[in-house]
Amino acid sequence: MYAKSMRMLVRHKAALACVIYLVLIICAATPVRAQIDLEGTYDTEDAVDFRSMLLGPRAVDFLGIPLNDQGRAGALAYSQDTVSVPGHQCESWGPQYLVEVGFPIRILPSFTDDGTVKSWTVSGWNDYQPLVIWMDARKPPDPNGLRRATGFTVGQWQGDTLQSVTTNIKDGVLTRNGVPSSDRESMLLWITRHDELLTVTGIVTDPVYLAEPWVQAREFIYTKNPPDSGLHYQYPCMQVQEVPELGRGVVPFYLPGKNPSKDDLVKRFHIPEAAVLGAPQAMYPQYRDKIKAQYTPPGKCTFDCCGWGDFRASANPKMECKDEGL
Amino acid sequence: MLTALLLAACYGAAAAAAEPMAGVDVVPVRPGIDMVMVHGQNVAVQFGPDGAVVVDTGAPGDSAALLSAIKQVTSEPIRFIINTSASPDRVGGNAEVSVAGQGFGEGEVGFGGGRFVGASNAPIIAQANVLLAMTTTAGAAYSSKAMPTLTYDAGGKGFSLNGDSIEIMHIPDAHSDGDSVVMFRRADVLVSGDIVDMQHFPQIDLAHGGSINGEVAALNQLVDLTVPALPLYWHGGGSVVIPARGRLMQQEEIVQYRDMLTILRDRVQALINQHRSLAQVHAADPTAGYDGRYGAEGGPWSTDQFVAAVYQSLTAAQAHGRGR
Repeated sequence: MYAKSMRMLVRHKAALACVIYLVLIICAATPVRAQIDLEGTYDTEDAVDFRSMLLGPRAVDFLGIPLNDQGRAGALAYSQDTVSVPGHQCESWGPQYLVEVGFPIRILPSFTDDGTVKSWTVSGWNDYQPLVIWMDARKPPDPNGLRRATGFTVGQWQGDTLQSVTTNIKDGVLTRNGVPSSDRESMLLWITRHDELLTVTGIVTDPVYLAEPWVQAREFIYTKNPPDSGLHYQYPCMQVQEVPELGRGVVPFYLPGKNPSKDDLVKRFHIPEAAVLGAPQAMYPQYRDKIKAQYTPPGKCTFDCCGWGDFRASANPKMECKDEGL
Repeated sequence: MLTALLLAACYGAAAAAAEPMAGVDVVPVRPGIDMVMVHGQNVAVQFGPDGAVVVDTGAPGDSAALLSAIKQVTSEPIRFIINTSASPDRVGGNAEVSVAGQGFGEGEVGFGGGRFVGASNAPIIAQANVLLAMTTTAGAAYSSKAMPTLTYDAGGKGFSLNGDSIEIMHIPDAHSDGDSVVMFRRADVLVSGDIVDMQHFPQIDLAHGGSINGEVAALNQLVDLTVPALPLYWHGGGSVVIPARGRLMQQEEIVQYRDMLTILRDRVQALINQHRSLAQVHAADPTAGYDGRYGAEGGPWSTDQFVAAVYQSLTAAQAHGRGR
């Protein structure tokens, strides 16, 4: 009797161990299906980098972008006139635009027949092709087929964070001042919602133009009163001849060493040229310590002193605002 | 971070699993048109009840793989072959693909069993300079079956098959003096041949009449021939371009390629204007900013070869006082 009980116990233990083992494997293999609802419209939090958020970064302001030599050379060749060339006017920005700029975003789900979320679509401004995060573990499209500017994205929940990977991106520009991006770029995106606060982190990797991954984060606030402009999935765009000089075949660019904005930030803010031109080490806090001894702050503010647009209201009334007429 | 990297790794594995086997990938372009990639060389196949039209035949030695892929696309016979240039990567499989085909021959008496009855190999259409280059190029030993059989001189040639109008246009002095682009009008698909290489700087065959200014002019012409995916850009419409190598493109990517080539041409021209020698031009690294995307240190078309071709093309044009 005892022996039989022991055999059953051993057998049950073995079965129990198998069950536990299987459960552990399933748990490890299956992403945590968090019940976080991302649906809604989110406004941006005003930030210290509001100027680059709204107007875009200044010409030849590559601070904090870990460029390699190829990326730097390509970025210095870029002319801001490019966006007025008919063939470029309606180009959608790449996936990172969502984190780079300060526009509101809207997130909408689609569902499968059984009610589970099939995809999350993140739309931004009019010049952003919506980013579709597929949650159904679908296979990526053929990389040799046509691509979308915002690529192909698959995601899954890890705890309370939606993590996704974007690939199959078109060639384009990474920033509005012409840092190039290649079709080998990929982006990890983390979206975390804490009640009404949404934190979006993007990590861009591009072996062609970046020496290291470029990490950006942006905070958004849930809003019940979404703006009535922008945020459209469907915003038609037509090319027009904006500038007579930019006719057929004209390609605006700067020859090596001829970019007129190359020294702007060095002269205005005394920032080391290496940092302005996107030296990878300049994106780490230690770099400040390194240059601290040599850095001389400018005597007084002569440029972008009071913010821009509505932000002026919060500026010091005693401050003389010089913002180049913006 | 670890989970994100694992996610990326899983995705990478999935992407790798989707890679074509044995260097062959068949990419649907539009209904009735596929792009067949064989060891990096693109071939366009238009197919339907009238048979198949094959634009370019890939590199020598790849014919069996190409024909096998075409059989997966359509069971109908190959009716026509079009060569976009005399480059070995465009005409390498001419003989085998033509013999495997079944043209609308002279002995044809009409329809048999609901189908055309062919009596010959598939004819090969090309600009006349392609035939000239294939017969006169030293070291190129093509069989008679590989030679173009329907040539045209200036302008172009057109015909209709499978409900689509197929327009073949001569583009002078770009990759070579025998370049054609092929437009499937109804499908709105354009085959660029060697004028566009999505993976490399374009090959400029100076020995056969190619030129950098002709390349730039050709790209501007391709911009004109194609239609952007506008105004509803998120729908993915517009013209589709099949390049010589690499993935499918839309007009905005032709514009980017045109931009790149214009910038590099003007950089080299600026150095020539400073009386720099070719060695000095190489040392000045005129392709900086584009090497990582399109350059190659070695192989059949290196960055150095490209820069030398641009330099020689521009200095020759300067010597002749023309914009070639």
